[in-house]
Amino acid sequence: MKSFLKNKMVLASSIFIIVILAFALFAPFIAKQDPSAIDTNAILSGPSAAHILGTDTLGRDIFSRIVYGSRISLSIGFIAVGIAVIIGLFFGSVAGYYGGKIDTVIMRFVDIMLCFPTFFLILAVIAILEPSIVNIMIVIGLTSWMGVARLVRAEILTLKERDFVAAARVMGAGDAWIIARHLIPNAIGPVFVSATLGIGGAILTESALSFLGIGVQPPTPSWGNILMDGKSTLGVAWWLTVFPGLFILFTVLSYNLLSEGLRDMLEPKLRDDRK
Amino acid sequence: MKILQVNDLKVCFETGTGPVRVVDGVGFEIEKNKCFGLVGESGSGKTMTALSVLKLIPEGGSIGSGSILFNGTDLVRCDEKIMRSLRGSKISIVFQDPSSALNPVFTIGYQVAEAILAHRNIGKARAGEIALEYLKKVHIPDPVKIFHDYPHQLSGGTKQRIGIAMALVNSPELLILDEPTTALDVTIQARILDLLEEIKEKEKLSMLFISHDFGIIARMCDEVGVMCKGKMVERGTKDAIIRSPKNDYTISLLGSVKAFA
Amino acid sequence: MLTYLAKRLAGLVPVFFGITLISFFVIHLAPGKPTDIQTSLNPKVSYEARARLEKLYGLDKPVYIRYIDWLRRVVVFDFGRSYVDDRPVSEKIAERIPITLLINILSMVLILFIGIPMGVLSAVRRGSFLDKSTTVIAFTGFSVPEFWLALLLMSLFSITLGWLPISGIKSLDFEYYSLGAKILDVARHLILPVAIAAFGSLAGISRYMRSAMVGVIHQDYIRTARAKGLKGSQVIYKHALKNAILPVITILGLSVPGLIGGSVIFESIFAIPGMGRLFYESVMARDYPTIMGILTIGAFLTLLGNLLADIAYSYADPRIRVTEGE
Repeated sequence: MKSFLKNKMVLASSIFIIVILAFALFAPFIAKQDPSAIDTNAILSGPSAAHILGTDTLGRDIFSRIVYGSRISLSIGFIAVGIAVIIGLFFGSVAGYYGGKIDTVIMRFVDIMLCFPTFFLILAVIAILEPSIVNIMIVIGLTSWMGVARLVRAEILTLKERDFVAAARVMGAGDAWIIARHLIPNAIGPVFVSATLGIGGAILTESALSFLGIGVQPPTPSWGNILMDGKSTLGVAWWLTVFPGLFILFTVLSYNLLSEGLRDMLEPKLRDDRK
Repeated sequence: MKILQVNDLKVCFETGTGPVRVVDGVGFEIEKNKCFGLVGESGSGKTMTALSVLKLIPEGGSIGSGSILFNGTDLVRCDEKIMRSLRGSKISIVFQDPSSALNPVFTIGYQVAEAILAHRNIGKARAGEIALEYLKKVHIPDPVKIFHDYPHQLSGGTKQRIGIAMALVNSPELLILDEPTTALDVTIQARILDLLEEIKEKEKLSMLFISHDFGIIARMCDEVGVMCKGKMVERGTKDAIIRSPKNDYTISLLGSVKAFA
Repeated sequence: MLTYLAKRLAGLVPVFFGITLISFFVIHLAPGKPTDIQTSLNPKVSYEARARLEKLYGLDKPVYIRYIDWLRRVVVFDFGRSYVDDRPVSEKIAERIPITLLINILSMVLILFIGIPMGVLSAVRRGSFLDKSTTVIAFTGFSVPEFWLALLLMSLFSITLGWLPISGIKSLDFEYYSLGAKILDVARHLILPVAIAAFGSLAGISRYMRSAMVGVIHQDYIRTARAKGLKGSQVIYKHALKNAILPVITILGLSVPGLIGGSVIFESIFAIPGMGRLFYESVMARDYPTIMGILTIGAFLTLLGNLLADIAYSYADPRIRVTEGE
């Protein structure tokens, strides 16, 4: 019963993720109105047939901005996590495979990175590098690889003692080949779970940055910067705050639930608390 | 006079693929001041039978049917409150693995005294004195020091002695020993068995002794029940079973011990 | 225990230097100089004037020398002077830090006193309504954008209902209040920021507490405690809780950087004159000394949080507190 309910949640999350992906891919077909078109006659109008989620302080259609914003927010989520996974895989597998001093140095580096109030660091770097979309992706990626590195290291540590690794070595395979062909593919499951979770986190970070005005710069819409006017219009135009926020919430929630579902699939033993 | 009578006991566990019966119609009796041995391979249902007597079956399991008469009272029908008053006072148990059976964050003295305070209305200081007395009784070296120690500071043998002391502090009528020496080194095993024999002679109590080792059962017990796959396949006095086992499974279990006989 | 703590302390030293090194280099290797803002926007500034400015800020020296210079001063909490108003950075941080610490400590208290009981209860009553609601709250807590939640709560409690003040930490006529009214006034201003700061971590901690508790409940020593005839409440709240709390202490320590980082967001939204807002303002103005100062202080606070967690852990766990031969 419980796992059935959970499966339903995972299914609902997957459907929502697909819908948002469709938003991003087919934005021009889904949102008929230009997300940047300023309509001074329709400033801050509530949800109506013409603007189903209302308009913002410049009279722009919020639904269109959310749909086009999903392109930016999702690509930042995916690419930032991609960067984090690549760095994490590299450091994690090197540390786990070689052990010894290399391991100590890398893991100490991970500890140092984990000590940072990450948001401070991201904020500082982005402000200095100019807040472009590419910079945001890179900086979020550079500050969120540590979890993956730890995971991969732990997996590699157990995997490298297995027979198939010894067999590959006997056959004359080099370290890089063993890591890339034998170890990483076997360790990829948990990385996938963690990456799915990371997408949600990256989307949240982007939205917070953009909300503070240090992220994606207007007029390009992102889920965070649509909310920028939210505070000044609080109590006047609820739709301006509520709808974009709900999209962020449900998207991040879907990725988190999907990650949980993937984890259950990978580790069936954890599904049952009784064990 | 019988202290414990178990009749047609059935214990089931709910699993993902349906209920599994781990104890299936087991019955036996323990005479007062005697030791009854339950022998069988791991997974044969011995431990679940023992835990049923205390009604400490892990979550997901339950007693399906049968009765467990302790001094004539059916424990199966007793509520949690009555069971709690019996556990550790009239019926107590020594578990298999002493390294995990003691709570790592409390001192030995605290854990032993706690068993006393759970059942007797006396002061903490008095409970501490009794606890110390029992630590001496199970021949723990330097009991005053160990009273203030934590489990991680002690050896497995000492921890098992503490487990035994903890089970004895309220002078129980029935002592259940669930593989009390299995987790220990061979030399320590022998010493713990010496202690248990001494207790059996000195204290007026009955024992339910569980082991997979026929040699230990033969040394400790008066009567024996052989369990296999949740059922009791053979039961009788120790001598009868060792001399003329009827069941094939009993014979195979005895095989390894025969060399000593 | 002292040996253990000394070891941990020694381990923190390289981490601290690593942090200062990374933040220093990241900021100084980035393109663009603080002088750009003052000079490039103003065509009248001559080349010589620009060079003088750079010399003033020490920007003409090689980067590693600047780091060593900077570090030497940091040890005595001298972070230089702000580019914005020429006041000592340490002074600027010192006047902003108490309110940030107050909010973070209050939210930590909230996390402890709500998150831990919530986790324990859902572990004990697995599958109950309470357990399910906690799960929902936890997942929402992980997924909700803090700033958005802040906007919504602000809109509800401050605008629609008018129960709480919108922003700041005290009312305009604060000076005329009696002491009691002053405390009440600040408390009313802090309710929302503290709640927002706590929400995300609260959800996380309650989940960790739940899983730690579930793990402990199945341990042998819990069965031993029950076999002694102890009451259910004694078994759970004494024997199980004291063990399950151990890993949660570590997690609490690890949640410090998140709390400190989050202060940028809620201090901006609620217009709280704390360290987070100062950081935001400094970032906007490219005030390097202040940015560096706050990054270093932030990392220092994180390390302090971890150290406190370590001390609490080693105190709570006799396996660390009491070791043979010490």
